[in-house]
Amino acid sequence: MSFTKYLENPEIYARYNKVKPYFKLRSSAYDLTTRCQLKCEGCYFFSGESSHVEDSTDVKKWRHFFITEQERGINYFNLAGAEPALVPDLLFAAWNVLPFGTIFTNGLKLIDREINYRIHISVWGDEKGDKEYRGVNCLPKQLKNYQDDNRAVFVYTINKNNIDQLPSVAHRIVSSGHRMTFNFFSNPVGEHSPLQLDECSRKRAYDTVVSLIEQYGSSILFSRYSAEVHTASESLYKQFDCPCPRVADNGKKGLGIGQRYRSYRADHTHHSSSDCCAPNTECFDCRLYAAGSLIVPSRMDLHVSSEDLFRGWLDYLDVCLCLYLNDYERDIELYR
Amino acid sequence: MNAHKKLLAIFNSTFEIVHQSKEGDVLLNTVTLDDNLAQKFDLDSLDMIEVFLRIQDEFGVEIDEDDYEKLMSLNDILAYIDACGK
Repeated sequence: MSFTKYLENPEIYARYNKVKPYFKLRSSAYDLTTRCQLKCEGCYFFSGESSHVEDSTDVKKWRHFFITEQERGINYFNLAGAEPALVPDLLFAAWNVLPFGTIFTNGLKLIDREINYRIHISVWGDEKGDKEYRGVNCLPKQLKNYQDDNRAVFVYTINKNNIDQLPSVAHRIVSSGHRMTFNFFSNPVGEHSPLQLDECSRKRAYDTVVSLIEQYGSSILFSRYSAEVHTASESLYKQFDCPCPRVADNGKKGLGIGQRYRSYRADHTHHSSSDCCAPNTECFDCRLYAAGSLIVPSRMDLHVSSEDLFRGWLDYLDVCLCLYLNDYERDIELYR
Repeated sequence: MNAHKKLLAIFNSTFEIVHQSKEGDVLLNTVTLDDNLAQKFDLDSLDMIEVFLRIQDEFGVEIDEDDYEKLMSLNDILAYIDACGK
């Protein structure tokens, strides 16, 4: 079997044509501020030098900067931290330049509904877990702020110790009418966190995630193939040979994200040595959902050795697009 | 069909999927052996990977991912296929 043979299957052909127009999405990441109301256990932002810069607060300067980025070919903004909701004027500056983007927030402060970006709200556990890892029980406030808000996707970061909390949190989020996805704790550079997933907890995480997919269907923005990829014994980097500029010395500069992707800090600077979706994460341990969203779709060539693998890749892309685009409707899974 | 025409047919096929129009046919008539194909057809890296996968299937060659960057024009690709002994 081969790529062209797979496309002879009408189901696969239709899905490929559905996702293909989005190959043109070209994103980069932007820290808007170094401020945050929380200090979470293992936070990537505060683990790295990104938090040591001086914030640029001039809205006009930011607007000009976003326009320059658009002119560079970027058509999708990833707006992150520390906590972007604390700088609403900068969010509007981005929104007024580009209609597509995601804001990565802790959800404690509502982002103006006029800004029609995807809103990814970080969740770390139930009441006990949230207090343990973040100091505050965030979920009640997050659910209240984003009630009936279709922009919202709740992102539960699975770590070694909070897997048992996941079903009750998922029930609470889904029964509130929201959708959720999963992130997988990965060590910040130079750290060996006790939250790091080991072989046993990865297996438990996989089983739990798959059971939630079966239980809650389309409210869970994750696929079985995604679950396999993110809980495999090898990290994303090892599985897919990450093509981010940060590791572009591996000779993969020809692949899309290796050409344009930048990770800007709150002072508008960036360095190729940290240009990736999770600059302060240990590559050899990376299982982050944001990393997967960039790496896996870019490696179609590694998903053509079997039709089933290609189906898994199409599912991964379908879920990704739904995760990052408000108006994209996800289809049923093709992976068998 | 010779290799050159087969390659153009592959690009046409890929281009039609991207744009869902006949515009590709017009562009194909103007492509030269040395044109940068990604620029000419406004293809991004995933489109180019599709092209390489189709070339692999059509010509029975294996394109190493480390060589993707080197295959920019029809001449580059034809030489590569030739070097693979096909």
